[in-house]
Parts: sequence; structure tokens; C-alpha cells
Amino acid sequence: MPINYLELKPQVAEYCQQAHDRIASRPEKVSLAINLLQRLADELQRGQHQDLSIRVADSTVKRSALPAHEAPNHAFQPTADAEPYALLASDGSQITSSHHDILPLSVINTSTVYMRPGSGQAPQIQTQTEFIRTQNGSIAIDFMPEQLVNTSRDVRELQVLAHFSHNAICPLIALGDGPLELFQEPRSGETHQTLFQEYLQALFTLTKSGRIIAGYTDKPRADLVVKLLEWIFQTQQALDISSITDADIFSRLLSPGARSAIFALHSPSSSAYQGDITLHFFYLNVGSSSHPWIVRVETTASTAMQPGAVALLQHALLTQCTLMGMRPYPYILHRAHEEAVVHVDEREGVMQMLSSALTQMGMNPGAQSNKLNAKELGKRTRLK
Amino acid sequence: MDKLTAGRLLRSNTRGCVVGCHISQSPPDFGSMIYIPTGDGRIYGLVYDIHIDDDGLVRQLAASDSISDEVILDNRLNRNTPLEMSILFIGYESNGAISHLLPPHPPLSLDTMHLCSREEIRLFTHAGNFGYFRYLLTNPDLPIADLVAAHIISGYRSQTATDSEHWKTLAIDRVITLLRDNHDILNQVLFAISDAFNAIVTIQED
Repeated sequence: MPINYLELKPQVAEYCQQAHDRIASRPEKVSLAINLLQRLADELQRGQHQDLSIRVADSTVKRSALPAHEAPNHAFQPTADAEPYALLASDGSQITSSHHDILPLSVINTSTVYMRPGSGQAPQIQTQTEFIRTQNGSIAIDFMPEQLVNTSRDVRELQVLAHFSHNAICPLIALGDGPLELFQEPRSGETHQTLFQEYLQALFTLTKSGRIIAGYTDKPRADLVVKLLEWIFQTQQALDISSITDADIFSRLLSPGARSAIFALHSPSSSAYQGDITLHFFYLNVGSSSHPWIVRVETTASTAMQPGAVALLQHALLTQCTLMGMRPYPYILHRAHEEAVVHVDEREGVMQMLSSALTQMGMNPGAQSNKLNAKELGKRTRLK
Repeated sequence: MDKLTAGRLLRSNTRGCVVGCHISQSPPDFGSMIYIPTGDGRIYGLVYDIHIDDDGLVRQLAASDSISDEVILDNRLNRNTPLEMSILFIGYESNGAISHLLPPHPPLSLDTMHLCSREEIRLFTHAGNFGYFRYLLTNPDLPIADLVAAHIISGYRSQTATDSEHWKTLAIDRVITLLRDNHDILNQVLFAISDAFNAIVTIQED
């Protein structure tokens, strides 16, 4: 029992008191934010704030929402019916290693799930497993930073969506788990830049193929709309809408199934996403009247500017979430995750496969560190 | 897996084994007689339990208001949800000789399991004097009455037309003899056999 519960107990009380104070002040802040959103909508309708994108670029605001072509306080109800469509989802998982392992290992596993709702056919599933390669095309046999492996996985997830062959006439909705904006930290370095360019290229390919694109974020903690309101109205009046999220606002504004207006995304990397791939997002209530559940859906301008495509995307996401019952989440994304995830024993299996192959070649594959070996002693069970 | 293979062995001991197959395959019926090939012959057994494990996703889907056909097919065809069958060993064949004793060695992991043909059932049930009934009638963990009834129906159907009634009478006599000191179980078994044969008559009349 490594946790000192006696020492922790008073800290738990302190934690809960702080959380209580924050939660207690939240409803008032959310009401204020909703009023400000209404005010922003009114002012935009009167022709004010026309230069927001230029002003925000010159400001110190790093990340925020920007009003797009829809009134920011408006809610959009789902359509009851939809034309036939197909869904494609991808997800990825990775095997990384440290210098404590027997061998350096950087592998990514990517899955795609394709399904046509209403077809009565089982979804098609593909899985790709590959070693990460260096820029000259050879397999990376040196230790690779985990962040680089994660970025490579994100790029591959988008590439499989972009290169999936789809011959049906119906629209194809390409879904990914998480935001479309590629997260990479640090953003410098030649390898990162190459991966970033590959990512942008895949996004361009997706938009050119006419696919409806979406990145689905469950339980979002973004405060992009909050930041927008703070930035616009901070100088005009004293306001405190800190510590609330966009989901807090839209859980009050959106009835079950409704989506928010579409916003453009302003971020340090948004200048790289231009034209058809300019990033936009909206919030969607996939919950019920008793349990609202707000999710964030990121998309590109190619989809965001087509009302029919957005309506179809909204319909498809709600249908997918309904399949999962009381805990709404797109079924196809969950299946993509199931197919992609690499378990610990599979990681050990790949490591063993490499060791055996090297041994057969007369090579000594090496050994894991004594530190790692000692840590794994606890896993063993006694012989019966 | 070819058409004749009804599954592959997951775990075993000398009294029985558990065989898995994909949920999309048609598993053998409860009470079916199967065999598992070995080096010099085969091991015979009866299917006494068929079970399908759930997982978190299946539980969540089952609680939702509606499930589409695509989702049902996805879970049956694509997801790794094996169907498991528990097998009771009832004898073995070595170098062409059938024995109603337990096999000397259990079969090995991933050995294939096959459904017995009528001729194979007839040959096994005619060898010896129903000695294998003791495995069915003495194990309290088995659904004894239903398993015996299912086996006797299966054996009855596998005999030749002139021999089936005689075989049925011998088999039931043997059951009565083995259960003569356990009236509760005997009653249950005889009721089950009676129900099973009544069902056959009803089907034939229809």
C-alpha cells in the first residue's frame, strides 16, 4: 500500500472545498457567458466586429473561437431523415520502447472501419501494422522519442482516411478520434516539420475527394468560445467567466441532438490550415434531456461551408451515438479503437519476435535493464 | 477451418475439454457426439454445454433501445467473441479398436473437433455395453437428464431401421440399472427421454 492515506485525507477535504467553491460559482458565470454570446450575436448582426480575425491575429490571444457564417448563439436541430451515406473511421495505437527494453522498437498500428448504415452488411475492417521509418525510408532502429511516435501515428490515422478507396456513390463521412488540428510539441525540428507537411497533405487529399471530415472530441475541456468572449468584452466591462468551459455554456443552450453554430479555430498553427482545410468546429449535444452530453466536432472549411454536409454529419454522429445506449459515443470510433489498440502482451510478442529473429541470425539481441527486470518481478506468480 | 471442423481445442484434461469456434460458425447441437483426432485414433465426446461470453461493449449494446443489423453482424463476424463448447469424453479409439474408457491422454491445444456422422455414432454405441453411460450419469455438474435424452435420441436416429427400437430399449434398460439407487435422477432422466421421444412422434405426425 504505497499511498499514505492518513496524510492524504486532510488534503482530500481541502481539494473538495476548492472544487465546491468553483462549482458553486459556475452557474452564474455560465449565465453571464450566455448573455455575452447573445450580445455578440446581436452586435455581429448590426455589422460590428467584422475584423475579428485580423484583430485576434494581432492580439496576445493564442487559442480562441472566431464566429463564422452562422449566428454564434444559434442552435441547429438535427434532421429526422438523411440520404444514404457511408462512414469511415480510423484510430491508431503505438508501441514505443525505452533504453531499458531489450531492443529499440517503434511500431504503429492503425485500423480503419468502414460501414454503410442501413445496408444490412457487416462493417469492413482493416488493420495496418508497421515499423516507423526514417526520412530515407529505412526502419528506425534507434530509440525514438515518444512524442515523435505519437505524431507519426496521428499522421498515419489521417492518411488511411485519405487513401481509403470508396467507390459508392453516397457521401462518405471520415471520422477521427480527437481534434483535427495536429498536436505536436515541440513543433520545431526537421522530422516534425516533415510529418506536419504530410499531415496537411493528407487533409488536402481528404477535402479534394469530397469526403465529409470530422474529428470527434468526447468530454471536451476547450474554452475557445469563452476565450473569444473574454477577449471581446474584457475591456468593456469587468467580467469573470474564467474556469468555465465551452461545454458548460452549450449544455444549457443545446437541446438533445442540437448543434451549436460553427466557429472557426484560431490557434498558433491555424495559419498552416488555409483554404479548404481551414479548421472549424461546433458543439453537439449527444445526450438526453436528463443527461446532456456535449461533444466537440472539428471539421474543415470544405465541410463547414456546406449546410447539407454539416446536417448529414450531425445526423450520422447522433445515430452512431444512439447505438451505444446510455453512454453515447460513436460506435464506429469505438470499434476503430478496439481494432487498433495494442495490448501489453502483444508488445511483448513483437519484442520476442525480434529477439528470436536476431538470435537465429547469430546475433545477441541484448537484454533489458536490471531496473526494468526488477520492476517486472512483481508480475510473476508463484509456481503451483 | 474446413467445413467438417466444428472447432479447435482451448483447454482439456482426461475427462473433458473446452472447444472454441467463431460465433459465426454453426456449432454442434447440445448432446451432439463429436470426435477429436489423435495420433493413433480419436477421442469421442458429447457436447454438454455451449456458452458465449459477453464483454463490456455487448452489455452496453444490449441495453440500448435499438441495434442495427450492421452492428449485430459486426459483433458476430468481426469481433473476437468465441463460442465455447464444453465436451465430456466418453471413450476413444486406438488402432481401430473402440473403448468406452477415458482416453489415456488428453488432446492438445488447438486440436480440431469434428461432428460424428450417423455411422460413426452407430459404431461407437454398438461397441461394448453402454459403459460410457457412467460418465453421463454420475457427474452432478452435468445437465444429466437432458444430456442423456439428447444422446439416446441421437443414438436412436443413428441405428439402422431394424435395430433402432432394440437399441433404444437396451440403452434405457442400462440407464435404469445404473440409476437404480437414485430415484430422483432416474425419474428426471426417464421424463426427459419420454419428452424427447414424444417430440419426435409429434413432428412425425405433423
